[in-house]
Amino acid sequence: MLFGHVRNCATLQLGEVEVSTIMSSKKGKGKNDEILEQEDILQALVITDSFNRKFAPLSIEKPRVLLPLVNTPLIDYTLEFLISSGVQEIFVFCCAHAEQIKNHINSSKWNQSSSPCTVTVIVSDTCTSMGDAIREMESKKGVLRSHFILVNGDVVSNMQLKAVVESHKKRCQEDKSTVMTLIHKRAKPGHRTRNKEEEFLIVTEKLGRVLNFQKIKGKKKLKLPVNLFQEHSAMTVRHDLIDTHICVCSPRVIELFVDNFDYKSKEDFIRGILINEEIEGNKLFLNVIENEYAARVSSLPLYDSISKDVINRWAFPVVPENMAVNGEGYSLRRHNQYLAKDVTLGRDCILEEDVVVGSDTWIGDGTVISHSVIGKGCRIGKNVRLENAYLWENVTVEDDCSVSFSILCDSVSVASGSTIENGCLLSFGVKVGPAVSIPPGTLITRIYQSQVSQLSDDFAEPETPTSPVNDEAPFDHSVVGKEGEGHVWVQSRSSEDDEDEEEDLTQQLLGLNISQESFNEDDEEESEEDSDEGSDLSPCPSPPPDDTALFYSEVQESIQRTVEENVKVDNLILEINSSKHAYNISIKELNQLVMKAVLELPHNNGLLQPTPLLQAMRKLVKKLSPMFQNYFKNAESQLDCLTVIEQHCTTNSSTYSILPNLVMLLYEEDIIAEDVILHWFKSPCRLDDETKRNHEKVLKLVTPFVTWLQEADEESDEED
Amino acid sequence: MEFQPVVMAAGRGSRMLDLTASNAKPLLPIGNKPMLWYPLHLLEKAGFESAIVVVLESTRGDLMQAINSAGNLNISLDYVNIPDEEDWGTADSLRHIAHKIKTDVLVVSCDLITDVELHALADVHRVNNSTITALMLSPSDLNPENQTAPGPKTKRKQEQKDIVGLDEKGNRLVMLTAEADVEDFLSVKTSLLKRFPYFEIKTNLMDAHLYILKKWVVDFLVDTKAGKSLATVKGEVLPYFVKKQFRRNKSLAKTMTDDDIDTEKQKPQDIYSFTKVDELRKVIKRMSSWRVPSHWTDDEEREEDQICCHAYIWEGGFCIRANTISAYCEANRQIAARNEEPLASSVPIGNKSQATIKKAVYTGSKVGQDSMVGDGSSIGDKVSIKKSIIGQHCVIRDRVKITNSVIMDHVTIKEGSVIHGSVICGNAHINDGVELKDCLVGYSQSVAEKSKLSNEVVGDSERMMEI
Repeated sequence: MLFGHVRNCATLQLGEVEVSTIMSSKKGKGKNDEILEQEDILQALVITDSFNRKFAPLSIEKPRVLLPLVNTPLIDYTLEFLISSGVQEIFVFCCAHAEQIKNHINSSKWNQSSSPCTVTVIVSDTCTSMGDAIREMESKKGVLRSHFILVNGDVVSNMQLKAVVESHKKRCQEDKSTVMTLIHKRAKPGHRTRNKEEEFLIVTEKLGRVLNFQKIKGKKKLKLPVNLFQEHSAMTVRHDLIDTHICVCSPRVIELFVDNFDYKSKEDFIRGILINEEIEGNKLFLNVIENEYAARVSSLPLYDSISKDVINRWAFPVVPENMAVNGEGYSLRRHNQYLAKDVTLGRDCILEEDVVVGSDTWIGDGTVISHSVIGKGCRIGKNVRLENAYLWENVTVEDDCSVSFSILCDSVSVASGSTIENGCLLSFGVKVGPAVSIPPGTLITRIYQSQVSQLSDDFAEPETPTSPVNDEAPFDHSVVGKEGEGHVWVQSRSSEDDEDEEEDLTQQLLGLNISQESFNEDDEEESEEDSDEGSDLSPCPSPPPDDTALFYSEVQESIQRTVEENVKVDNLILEINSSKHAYNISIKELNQLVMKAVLELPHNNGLLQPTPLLQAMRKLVKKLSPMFQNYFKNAESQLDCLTVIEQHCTTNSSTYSILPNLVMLLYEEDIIAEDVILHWFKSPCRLDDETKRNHEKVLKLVTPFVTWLQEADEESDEED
Repeated sequence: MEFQPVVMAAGRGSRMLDLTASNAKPLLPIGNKPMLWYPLHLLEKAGFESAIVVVLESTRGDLMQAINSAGNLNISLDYVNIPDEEDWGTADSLRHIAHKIKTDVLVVSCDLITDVELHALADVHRVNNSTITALMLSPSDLNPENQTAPGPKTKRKQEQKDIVGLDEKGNRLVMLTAEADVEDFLSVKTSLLKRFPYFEIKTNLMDAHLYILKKWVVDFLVDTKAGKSLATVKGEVLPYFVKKQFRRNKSLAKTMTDDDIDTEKQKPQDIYSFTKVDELRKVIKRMSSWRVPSHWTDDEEREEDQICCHAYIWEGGFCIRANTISAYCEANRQIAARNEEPLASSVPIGNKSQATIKKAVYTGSKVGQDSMVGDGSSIGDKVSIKKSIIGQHCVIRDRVKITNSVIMDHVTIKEGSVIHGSVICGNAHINDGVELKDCLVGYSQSVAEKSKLSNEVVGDSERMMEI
């Protein structure tokens, strides 16, 4: 056993006492508080669903928390971490694949009588966000009674929570308005465990109170409100942290989530707390861990980094030999080689460094393996080269293959002479080969993509056949080879995601960010661009379908009213959002239509001449700036916005003539990022001839501006 | 000589016009010495043997005389005149004396009264090979903001605050902006964050207006158009350099040519043509295993910063900038209170002892430990003086009560007057039974018998208007 816990006989009894205290709570409050304090059972809420699709298509068949990291399911790391920190009651909240998670937990050691804590599984099918999950907890009254730990089910950590919880409680006692303590780990930019999509800035005051929190999301400049400097004389600006996705919550967190039913993620919550700080006075605190390890497997590159951290023993005592399921155990050899029982190594086979090999695995002669994890029951042939490869259970790799920076799930087989290049994912049961080369970044599954609706990562459609046999769709033999079995999975940026969905949904691939340090922003945008192609970037259908038309007219009305009656822009956003839901409009369409409405607005009373139009637009854009900020958050939506403007130019000569000024205006108002403009400018037109001509004409018009922009890029630093 | 000290004593005291109306700011007495004496004393204590003093043409004679008579200074002074009619900033003054500058300069303002150890500041400058090093003060309870000032009660403008960003070690200046320049948002560059993922922002630091500048900074101020446009060290030069720290050489060249098209013919100049990489440092760089972390810049040519600004944060010491009336009063009180401490012990006041001796002579009079009385002053019976400074040759009659006040030279205070929290300038005449509270009495003014004034300025208003 890793953490020698002795079962506490009092647990059960305490449970009974709690029930009685809850019943007596109506009688005497003061007394009740006393008893609650005496008990002090530490509780944790584990959210197993990620509510995104970063691990698709793997997560279609298996929830992310059950994916093996160094041959141990992720949730085991989380549970082990909680228990070793002295948590006595854990609630595991499941949405998608709840059955699988439930079964896993029921058959695990935590369900045995020797377990030092109780693990309860809570299932809900209706939740679509972390916020929903927490709101759901509200209905289960009395489950979470006191301060509790909120953590995602895919966190790997060796930290001790006791001290943090203690200081959180102390703060709460001193100041009732403390609601949450965030736990962040220090890691400077460039650290491999940093999540490139989650770069942020956090401003804290001396005692760790969070004053400001912003995601960077590719922005070049961040804005700190001036009142920070008026109210606080000393503060710390930090960009050297990673969010561990562990936090200590006071019971009020649940109430706050219930009161603000638009909070979806923890980020919404943090933002909400900080914005409403003056009104509600709730406070957030930050706790920075320096020497302990904590990280969340929130994307494929992080899967790779965290695996390596575990292998390199950074997270000790969370190391492979301690985490192995069912006491399998590894023997540790020099250069971080972990070999389980009954491993057969061929002659001349070379294990370089950082290699984990599961039990009953057979490795052929002349094979070279480095920085890889191999599950149990794998068969690896002769002269195979594995580099940064993750092979799960029962994988077969035949002779003369090579695999780098890729994940091969359970029962994958790679026939002889095949090459799998960086960033590939072969999902459960896929077969490839013989003698094929899988190009970088290919995702292959046995499930035909159209069968699965575009829901979040861990959402399993109940209808989806779990056994992915389907005869209708033939396998993509051109990719997977003659004898291969599997379909190429095209990454799609699901467009029907909610407008609040902050996260950039592009999947980051394994291996791409490791080979070079930061894959720079251009690359990122390009890949986003690629995935856009073929989707609905085609020119706005001129007579939009009914719903869209209705929606459009409502948006137009709302905007007009906002401008004329000087209503708060926040209300406008609310109106548009509700219209969106009413007409079931995708966020992409919404962006396009909103922009179109803004462009049309000045022309309501007849076509305007360029000069008055520019004035009108300037006023309009200034006024609506918050709305733009709200909708055009990421590069893709900003690009859409530019495309709409471009299209509008073709029909409206006034817009055409003010185009450079308009683009500049949007740039100045920080609505459209410089990168996006440059990208738009460079992007080739892939449509028919006429639009192409237009495109070129438009681009010509903005050339001076773009040139200026490129130069000003450097210069702007001087000016401000 | 490693540093050349320059004392900026040509300020007009625009924040304390009531006092500077007829007396130049560097001449105002603090603890019965002219203000200018204190920075000079600071330099001498740090081992400097000579200093350049920038003065206004018209005040030169008076200043020289005052400094000579204040005595106890062996430092040799080189007075440089600045024409009265020009309204020059400190950087303008530096340009004016550029031909005298041979090494790095230490610029100090004449209103700085402190007992800081200058070598600590110099160490920060040396260790970091700093371009500009500034002395900043961490707030202490000496903060004069809390004190009431003599003169009319105005809603005193908040002393301008600076937003100062300091790196992890606490002395690299990462950011410097005046709060007044920030409108709604202060923008922070992501590239800066990558470079300094952890920094602290402070708004309570006080800039002591004491800087060490590299020699080439002065050259830059003289030779380039960009440099010429900067007027003051504090307000413009320092923020300019702080900003320039993280620019890349290449791009700088580009921007400079943009705004220097007309000067280009004379000399193509950018800030980097002034920076010289020390041969020794090149060797150090070559031989050390340290390299610039990849996340600092995306650029291929990664090099160490050629411009870097540092600050020495001095905590808990005695330091006042006497640039407002309230700070001036506070400085006086502090000097009086400290007149047995190191700063004042070398001050040959000799009056303290004199006052104590006199105490026996004047029956029933009390001079508190925290007060000073100048040479040749006479004090009557039953006088009480607390937390105050009395200048030379003053006449203080019987039953006068003076608290928390500054009385300059040749002042006569008649019987039974009560003076609290006021400043009384030279040659003033306070008649019998006057009660002054938080007042300011101008030069050669007289206050009529039994008047009771509070928060007022008694002075020649016309003359003040002129200035």
